[in-house]
Amino acid sequence: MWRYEKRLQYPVNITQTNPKMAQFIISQYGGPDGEAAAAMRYLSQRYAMPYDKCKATLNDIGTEELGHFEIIGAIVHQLTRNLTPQEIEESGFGPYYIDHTTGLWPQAAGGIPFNACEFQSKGDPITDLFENLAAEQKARATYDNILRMVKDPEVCDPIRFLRAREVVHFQRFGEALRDVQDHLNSRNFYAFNPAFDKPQGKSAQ
Amino acid sequence: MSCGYKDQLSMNVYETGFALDEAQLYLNTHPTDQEAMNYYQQVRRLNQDAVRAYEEVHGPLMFNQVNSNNWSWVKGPWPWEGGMR
Ligand SMILES: [Fe+2]
Repeated sequence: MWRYEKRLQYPVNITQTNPKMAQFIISQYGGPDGEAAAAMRYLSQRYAMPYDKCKATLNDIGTEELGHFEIIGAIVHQLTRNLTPQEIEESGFGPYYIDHTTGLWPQAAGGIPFNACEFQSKGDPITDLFENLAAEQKARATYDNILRMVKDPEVCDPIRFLRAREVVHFQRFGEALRDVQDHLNSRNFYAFNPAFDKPQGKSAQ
Repeated sequence: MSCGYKDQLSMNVYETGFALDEAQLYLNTHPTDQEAMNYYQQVRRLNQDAVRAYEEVHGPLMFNQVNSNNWSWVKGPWPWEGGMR
């Protein structure tokens, strides 16, 4: 279960609104490589994971991603506070505003709604961990794209923090993948799916 | 600390909280690393002290730390509003 700690994982305090940047950054709220997808991916994958260190890794990185979802929400919220209709029109924020005013809704930068098809939970530990390594790099690349657009240091600072976390998560998932492989037959990691097949003999666990 | 924090109490909560997050993920894949365990024990104590000092001035970080007769949990600003840094 989860209980709320009344703070962000990293502070966000933005004093200058910028609806154009908000529309870019919202992609990490509900876009293809965003934090909602990350949290749902890892927290869903943990059920099929047979190994304890990897279960802990999926559980705790999935939990941290929920905290990142909240940081992105805070950034978008603070970038869109107290806007005038004129600012909305001139910034290009109009299409989003028409459907959601300045409420938060998980979508990609281009307006595509959040969709579970943006991640996989395959029920195969090697497959899932490779998916996660790719996901962390895709999120890191998205933050790099955002950082090329954003000039305000109050926005860059938490975005840089989130980018650095993707690199750390990539490292931890790499270690988890090594742990899975250590449990398997070193001559053929793909001889069976340790989450599903029940092979005879000592290579199973 | 390019954006700054509300005060030293807040900064201590953030910094020790982050040290704990890092120790947790590292220990998950290195559960027998004694040096990492020592680090965890050290930052756990620092974080407990930081949270206690923070809550005395700014109110509870977790709802079950409300220990007064009034329900201070609802008092803002909430984290996403920027009042927590
Ligand atoms: Fe991540």
